[in-house]
Amino acid sequence: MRSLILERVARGLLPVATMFALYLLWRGHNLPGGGFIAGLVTSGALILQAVAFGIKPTRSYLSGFLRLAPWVGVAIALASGLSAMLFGDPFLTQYHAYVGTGESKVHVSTALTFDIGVYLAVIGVTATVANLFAEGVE
Amino acid sequence: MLPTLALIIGVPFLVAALVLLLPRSWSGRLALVAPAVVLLLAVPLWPEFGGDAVHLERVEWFPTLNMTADLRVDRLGLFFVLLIGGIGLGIVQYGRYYLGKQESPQFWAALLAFMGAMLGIVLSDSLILLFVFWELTTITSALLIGMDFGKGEARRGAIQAFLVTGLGGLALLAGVVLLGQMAGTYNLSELAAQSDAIVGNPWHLAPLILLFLGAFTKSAQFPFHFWLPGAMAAPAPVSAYLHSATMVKAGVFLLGRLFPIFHESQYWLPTLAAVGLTTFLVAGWNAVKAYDLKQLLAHSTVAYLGVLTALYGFYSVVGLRGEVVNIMNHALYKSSLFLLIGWVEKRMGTRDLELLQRERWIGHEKLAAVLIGVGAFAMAGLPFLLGFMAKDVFFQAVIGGPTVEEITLYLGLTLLASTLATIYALKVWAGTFLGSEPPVLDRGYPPKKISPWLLIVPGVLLLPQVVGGVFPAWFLGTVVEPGTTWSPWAIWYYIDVKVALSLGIIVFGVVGYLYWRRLAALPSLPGPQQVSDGLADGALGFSSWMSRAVQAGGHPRYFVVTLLFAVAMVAVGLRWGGWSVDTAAWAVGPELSFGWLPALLITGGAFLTILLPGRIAKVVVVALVGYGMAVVYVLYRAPDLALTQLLVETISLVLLLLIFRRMPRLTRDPRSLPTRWVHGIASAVVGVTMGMLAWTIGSTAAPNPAGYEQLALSYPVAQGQNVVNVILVDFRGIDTFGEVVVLVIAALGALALFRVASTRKEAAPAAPKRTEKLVGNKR
Repeated sequence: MRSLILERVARGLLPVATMFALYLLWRGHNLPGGGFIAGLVTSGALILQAVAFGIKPTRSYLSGFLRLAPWVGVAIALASGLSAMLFGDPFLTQYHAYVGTGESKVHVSTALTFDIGVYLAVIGVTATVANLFAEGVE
Repeated sequence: MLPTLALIIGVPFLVAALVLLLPRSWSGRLALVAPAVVLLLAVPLWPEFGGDAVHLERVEWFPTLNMTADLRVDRLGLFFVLLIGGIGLGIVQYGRYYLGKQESPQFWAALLAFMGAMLGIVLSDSLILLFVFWELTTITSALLIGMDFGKGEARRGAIQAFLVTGLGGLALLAGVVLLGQMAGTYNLSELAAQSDAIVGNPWHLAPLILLFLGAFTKSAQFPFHFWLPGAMAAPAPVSAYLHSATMVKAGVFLLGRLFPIFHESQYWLPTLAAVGLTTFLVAGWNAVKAYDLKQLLAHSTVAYLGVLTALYGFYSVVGLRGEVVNIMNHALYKSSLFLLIGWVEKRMGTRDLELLQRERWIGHEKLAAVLIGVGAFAMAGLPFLLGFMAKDVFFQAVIGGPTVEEITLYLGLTLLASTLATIYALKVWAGTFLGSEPPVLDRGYPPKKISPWLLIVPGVLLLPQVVGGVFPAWFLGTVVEPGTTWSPWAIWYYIDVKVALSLGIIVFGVVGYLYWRRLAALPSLPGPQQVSDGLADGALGFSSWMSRAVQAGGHPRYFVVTLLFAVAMVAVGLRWGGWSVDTAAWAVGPELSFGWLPALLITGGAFLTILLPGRIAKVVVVALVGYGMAVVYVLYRAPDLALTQLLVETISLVLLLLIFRRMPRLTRDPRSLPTRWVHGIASAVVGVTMGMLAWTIGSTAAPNPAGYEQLALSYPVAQGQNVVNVILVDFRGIDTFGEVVVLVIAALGALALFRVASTRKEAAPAAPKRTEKLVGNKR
């Protein structure tokens, strides 16, 4: 069953939710948020798409990305951990730096890379499971 | 040195992976590469490591846990490397011509992985690393025994070997951890340095017992001696390699590694002497009774492992001397005998002594008769063979015992068991070749169809036996243990009490053998074999009863069992840790004036779940409980938790709705009234206990909460103000990484389950009915 209102809302919500998820991901180190939460927000938005437009179109748009997401996520998290070992530090040592000066000083951290890996893995896993469970829904 | 060691351990694993990837026809030839490389790398090191020379190679692993992956090279380890590589090379060459249809890339891969794991054990200085490789040998050996998994015997042998050595492995792990906690290090070299302190602590008995259990199960010592004969379902090369030359010696090797740490313990000598000599005697008796040649060799292997175990016990009094000679002696003659019995099976069509002892094969197969003769006489410890020297070493150790009474006891047992050894050694050779009737020449393959390698390989392996037996002083003093001076032992140099003992045993053995031949059948004692079989059957029976009771196949039973067990653990903690229903200590802040809201949501949701009909309604009201929890987190100012809880609750609600769509409509409760009562009582017990736990935790301030430290460190160390996230990505990053991997694995599992379910549905339209039956299960 298609609902015009739901479709409009879902269409508008996807970019907003994604931006919000990325914002949560970015600020996670200092304020509530982080890879896991951001991944769940994005997954929620994707599930809403599937509810509004049906599982089939959603799947055909996203399956390429979603099939890879868990592996890429784990690979990024692993690579971020292993890269510390290249510098002779233990696995998963995180590095920090401040870019810029004064008011525009920005904190960058390798922890963010690791969190991006977590983010992708969570999206991939949730979407895979949801996709399986939705088998047969038109 | 580190690259060499890494290559020695790594090359077999690499080749194992290659064998699986490359074409089938290459696999046998490729497998030869691994032991050849190991030998090339290890042989040049041999002369450098005379006497007590030890080379340590530091490898960091988990520095914060005091865990290293340190490697070490010393005489014993390097000797084992040469043994594993040398015999491995022979085994692979033999296997290529022996296996025939059984040959497969998987076989070679498992064998090579085993080789790598074994090399890892003998080159580890870190006990943790040693344990990892130890478990790998357990797994690969079970794969090799069960290679022929179409046969019930092979499966049973593999499972039994896996269970016994696997349980021993767990004991070993517990022992390693206890020892490491006691001494503050897991490294053998550092442990040996603290030997006095460790043995001085009366609690050293606990890790010692556990470590002994690991060694005894691996080396099939009494009362765990039953698994090795069961493992003989494996093809001849596997038996020769794993079950005589290398893997079963890992237990003895472990004793060798523990010797410097524990040998001054008052328990060391009595335990090892008692267990080793009992094994020697019991397994010797089993070998005398055996009629299957391979079983006979298996029992005799267990017997010799008993000798080696006892030997390490006696060394605590007389000092290490000649253990390498003993291990080498056994590895060489026993693996050759296993290989030769593989040949016997092909040529003579059977390995049953009942048949073979009637037939006179000696005139037809002269070369094999000589080779099996050398092997069997080495087993009996006849002069001019290395076996004689090995026995001399053993006697020297026995008669060096601490007190006269103990020497008498141990010597008596040794003499009895050695006589048995001579009897079964003669039985192998004379039973195979010296019958009276003409042999059935065409029961097996004709000689031309059997590759000459099946005799060449054991022949080469037996060569050191003869060389070492004829030129003992040169062989032992120059090749085996250079730098040490060995008195020229051989009966043509001098005769002492040990030589007299040896010769006496040979005479006894021959008499015993002739006497045994005249007996129709030996009385079968209700011996330890039956007791251990009984124990094994009992364990199996108990575990299958347990499985039936716990794994009933229905969710209600699983839930009840799991929850009650968890609650029982909690109850133990509450009973002895103290519990309280005090409300005074509760931090009732102003924000808790909203406490009625989550309380209402949670209790309301719980009651509605029971009362509402229909699955969808139930799932939705269960979500109320989750949202109520989110409100609690908000009240306690945990925004991260609240956010996560809300999102998880929402997404799992959607997923559950998707799943429940497929389920049949709920009918009236199919459970009988007593079942419902049981479930009700179980629920009440769980609820009350968990409630008490929550109350106790809430009203008792933790003496030293972990949180403060993390809070204090969060900004200075990780430069993050959100301590939850800092813990997730930085402080406990490896936990998070593990969880992500688990998530991905779980998704893969779901994928596999759905694939299976959907293919089944296509194959059999009746499948949904079965699902319904399982859901409404009441057993």
